[in-house]
Amino acid sequence: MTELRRDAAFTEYVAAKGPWLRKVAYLLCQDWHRADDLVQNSIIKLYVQWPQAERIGNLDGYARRVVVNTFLAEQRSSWWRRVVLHEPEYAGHADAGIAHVETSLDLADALGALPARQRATVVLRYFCDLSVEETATALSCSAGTVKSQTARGLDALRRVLDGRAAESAAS
Amino acid sequence: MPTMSVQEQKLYAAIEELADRPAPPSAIDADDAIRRGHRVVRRRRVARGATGAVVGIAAVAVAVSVLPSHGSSGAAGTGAANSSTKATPQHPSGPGTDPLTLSGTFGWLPTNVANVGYSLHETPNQVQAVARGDQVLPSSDTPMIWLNIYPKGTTPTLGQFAGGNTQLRVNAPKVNGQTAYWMTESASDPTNAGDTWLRWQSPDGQWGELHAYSLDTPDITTELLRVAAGIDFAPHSVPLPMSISGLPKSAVTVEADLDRPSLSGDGAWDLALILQVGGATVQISVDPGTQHSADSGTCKTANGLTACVLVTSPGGLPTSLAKGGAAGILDRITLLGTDPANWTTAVVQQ
Repeated sequence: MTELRRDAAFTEYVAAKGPWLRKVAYLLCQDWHRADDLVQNSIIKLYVQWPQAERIGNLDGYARRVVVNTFLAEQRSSWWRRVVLHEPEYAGHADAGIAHVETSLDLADALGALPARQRATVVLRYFCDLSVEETATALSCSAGTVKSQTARGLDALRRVLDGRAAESAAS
Repeated sequence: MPTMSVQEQKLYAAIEELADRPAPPSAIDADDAIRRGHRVVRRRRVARGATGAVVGIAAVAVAVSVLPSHGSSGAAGTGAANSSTKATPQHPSGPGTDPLTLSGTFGWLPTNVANVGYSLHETPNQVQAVARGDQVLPSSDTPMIWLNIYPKGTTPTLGQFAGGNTQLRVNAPKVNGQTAYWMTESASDPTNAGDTWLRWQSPDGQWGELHAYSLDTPDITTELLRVAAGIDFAPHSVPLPMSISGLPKSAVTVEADLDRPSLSGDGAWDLALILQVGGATVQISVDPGTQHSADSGTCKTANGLTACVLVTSPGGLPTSLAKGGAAGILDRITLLGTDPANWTTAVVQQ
């Protein structure tokens, strides 16, 4: 019975938060198929740790951390190159002619060019809306590192962001 | 809340837009996660019950690291059967090939990175050794050292790291009197912020490469130089806990992984082999214990090990294997027990 309750709670959580975790994963890896793999691998870990995760009070933060750590671990090994068989999908959307989608793709490219931890820092700060201190905790690093990584990330993304603003002004 | 810069405001908006862009249907599957999660939990319980988990893992790694580096069979020696082994395994006879054969392996390793595993990747088509710590999922802080030995006559070049930054060469102290250098993003930091790369030459001029991270040591450079100095560049066939016979000559090993601890983090090791046989892909997994999940394929247990076979596109199997399917292939597998002293390098036999 305990296991049934656990499975039901887990299923409910994945149904509610899966789309959000998927977006986080997508921003980390810029590929929806890989994002699905990333989230799937992460929720297996989440399930294994579910009794402890339920007790810590910030289930969303825990789940997000598992996704980010799984992403960083995969980046450091060549494992994902073996298990992910999909082609990069940037060219796969027929509706990519829409201007804002093009701009999004530019940002996706620019994000993808950031080193993995810098990218994770940017995603946690500007999509997950975490403070410097919260991001430092999530990435097990110092607040100073988060600040410097954020500054570098912003600098690297500046060209795309400025281009985006120029397009908006021209239209 | 601190005041946001204009750049930050732009980034908030742009990143939100990127996350909201049209996406294909989600493939996230809670039921699948539960099934696979159950398997991990069950096997973790079994592992805890059967061994003193962490101590057991380290002991296995040490035992394997001192096995003969090359030979006909790991069984040739001791006969020191594990007391839990139910029956003396039948050792394969005759010539066979070992998909996990590499041009060298680890010697000295830090005590917190003592589990040595091996991987044959299709790209690049070579075997790597990896030493890792005991930490298991969901931690991503497991210390790891990857060893890659370049083929004789191949000189590795500098390029870009995965994030796009340029790889810089910083000379390192010589290793066994031979040229060595660090590969880093910043010339002032040879450790590359803990994601550390070292390349060096053997006395014969062959290049080796170490990639280490999460080592959690105050002196990464000294530690890695010592690891490099201990690398044995002699050919090394890794004894495996199974053999398979009666395969057609056209069978090719596409991937092979002996992971320590197991990739799922709940056992001392696991073995995965992927073979291309005719037009079919044959996946073989071998784990210590008797547990397997319903989606592992066709399975059997013998000598304390469980082997599972999964065939993709079974219609493409050669005639000699097509009739029996996955079960027929499983019959051709001999499981050699939990004691690495009984494992073999004659793994794939035609």
